[in-house]
Order: sequence, then C-alpha cells, then structure tokens
Amino acid sequence: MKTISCMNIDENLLYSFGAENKGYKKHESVFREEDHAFYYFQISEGKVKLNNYNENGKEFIHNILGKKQSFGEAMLFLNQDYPINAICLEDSRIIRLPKNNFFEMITQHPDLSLEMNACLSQEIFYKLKMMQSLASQNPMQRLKGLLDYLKSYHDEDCHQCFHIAFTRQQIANLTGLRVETVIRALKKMEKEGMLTLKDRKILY
Amino acid sequence: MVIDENILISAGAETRRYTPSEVIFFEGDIPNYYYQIVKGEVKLNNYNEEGKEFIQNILSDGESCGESILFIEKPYPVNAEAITECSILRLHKSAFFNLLNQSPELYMEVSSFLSERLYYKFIMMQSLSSQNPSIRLRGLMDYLKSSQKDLSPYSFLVPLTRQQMASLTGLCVETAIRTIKHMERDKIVRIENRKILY
Repeated sequence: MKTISCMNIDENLLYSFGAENKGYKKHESVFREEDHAFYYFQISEGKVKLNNYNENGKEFIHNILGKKQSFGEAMLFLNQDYPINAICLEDSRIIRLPKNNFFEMITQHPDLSLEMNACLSQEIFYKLKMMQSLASQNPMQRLKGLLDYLKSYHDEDCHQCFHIAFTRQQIANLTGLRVETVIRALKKMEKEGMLTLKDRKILY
Repeated sequence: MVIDENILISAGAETRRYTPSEVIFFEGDIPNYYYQIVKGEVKLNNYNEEGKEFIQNILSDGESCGESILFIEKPYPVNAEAITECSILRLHKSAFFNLLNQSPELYMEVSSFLSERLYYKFIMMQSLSSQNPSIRLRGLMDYLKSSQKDLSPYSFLVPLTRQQMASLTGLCVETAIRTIKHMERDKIVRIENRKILY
C-alpha cells in the first residue's frame, strides 16, 4: 500500500549528523507513553504503530507507518512527553538521531524546515479528517472516513481497486470500533455498493 | 502569539473585521492566505450529513487559523467561522512564504506551533475513539487544563458553553448536560452558577 514518505530525510545525511541504525523485534516498543523525547526516529525497514490503551485495555491506533516515514517528531518541538506508544508490528530497522543533532541538522539545512512543516501539516490534515469521522457514532461513517483518507494518497483514481492493506482488527483499532462491528459494517457497505470484498481483501 | 503583528503588517498583511457567525473560509476552499487573530474567537468546524456540527478547535487572540493547510496542496478540510466580533490579519500565501524564507527562527516557531496542534489532536483522538461520553469530556477538560499553572482539583473554570463542549466531543448537547451532572455527582467536576470547575 502506498504511504506518504514523510518526513523522509536522506539516510546518509542523518548518519553524517551522528544517527545510528537500530534493530527492533516484532512487538518491541521504540518509546512509551510519558517517555521524554530524546531522538528523531525514521523507519528504514519494517512497520511501526502509534497507539494508546484505554482504562479497559482497549487499544486505539493513531497511525501505522512504514519505510521512510518518521514518527513522534512533533514532541521534539514541544516540552511535552510522548502522549503515545510506538510499537513495531514486525522486525524493523529504525534510524535514530539525538534531538540536539537533529536541530543542528535543521539549522544547517533550512530546506528541511520547510519539509518538516509540510510533514507536520500533513499529519494535522489526517487528524482533522479522522477526528471528524471519529466524532460520528455511525460505524459506516467512521470507516468511510478512514478509507477515503487512505485512498486520497493513491495515485490513480480508480473505482474499487484500491486495496486496504490493514487487518479487520487494525481497522477496528484505527476507528475506535469493535472488530465485530467493523466486519458487519464492511459487509453492509459492500451490499450498498460502496466497496468490494474479494477473498477477504477490501477493495475501495 | 505565532508571528509578531508588526512583522506581518510590514510584509503586507491587511486587517479584516468579521461579525459573529461570519465565515472566514469554507471547507473545500483553496487556501490563499495566512490568517492570524488579533482579537476575537474563531471556531474550526465541520457539519455532517445531518447538519450536526463538529468543532475541531476554538482559537483566540494571537493564534493563527488553518495555517497547516498552506504547507500542503489540499483544499481546507474545515470551515472557519467567527464566534465573536473578530479582527484578523490576513497575509497572502506567497508573502507568507517569503517571510519564512528570510527567517529560519520563524520556521522553527511555526514547527513548534504545528507540533502543539498535533499534540492536541493526539489527545483528542484518543478520547474521541471512546464511545463513553464521560471519557470524551474528561479528555477535553484534561487537555484544556494542562496549560494552566494551577493543577489542583476544581481550580480550572472551563471556558466553554455546554453546546461547545458537546460539539468538540461529538456528543449531543443533552448527553453532554446529563454526563456533566453525573460527573458532578462523582466529584469529578464542581458546578457553581452553571459554571463548570474542573
């Protein structure tokens, strides 16, 4: 599935400012809620989810990120601890650059500042869209919000050919719904001609 | 304050006045300007198919609105509507980027500001994902209170109407009112002259 590469900084530039490449196992956390932000993180291989658990242990996923994407960088600019966990969904390699080196790099490469702002803006845009759909009590509305957003990064405008490469459980956790509700709502959306289900794959 | 008003004015910004419920920009409009509130309150909102309002954020003196969309090639995903009488500085997009290109410090300030917006959304999305009205309302109040110096119980006067609290959390106003009463009984909030203390 196509993902936006944001903030995709040239790996050699990161290394020249002292970044290291670190291996993580599946399920291992990169940082935890309430940790201080000490590093800029960029995925070189693998997948990471940003999540929270509520009082009942129910998981909410904020985002799933892949190769060439950064995460948690907003907290470098704030005096706030992480409001989220970052957990590897598969064995991953992540480049990390200490906070001070990151700011030195940005100061020496002003073009990165513009890119940084574009990247933060992109994330805000996603959250504006997702908050709107999360505010709805209607499961189909919530799902449509997520699918529309994901599809908006697809290059070709096609009719029900965009493959949603998330599991039902991940979709449930991204929209704050129970997995049973997601399965039922997806079937209903298929019946209403909003999407196609083919070998359990969701085409939108 | 995001950007010094004098800097904006010398870069060519004009001051515009808006009356309550006047629209500054509509969802779907192409962003052409940077907006910064001199005085007044503005809400960013959406309406769903049934016309129910969802408020994304309420902004006031010294805050910019919709600035994040200038950095990406997308139409506005929200409306911006004046709540009170507003006076707003408006600077053309190209002049705004010229200004940023001349000043790396300003770039950094914009980054911090965008990061703050994102932080709010991390907190609010988490509480919106819950179906429980009390968790949604507490998420909102926790966030608003987190910028206060005094964090002791009931020290924070929630500066919102019940309707605004409902629209910020995706609840019906009746649900919000009922839940706030339950929260008073559970000693989560105190209510004095209809004002909510958290």
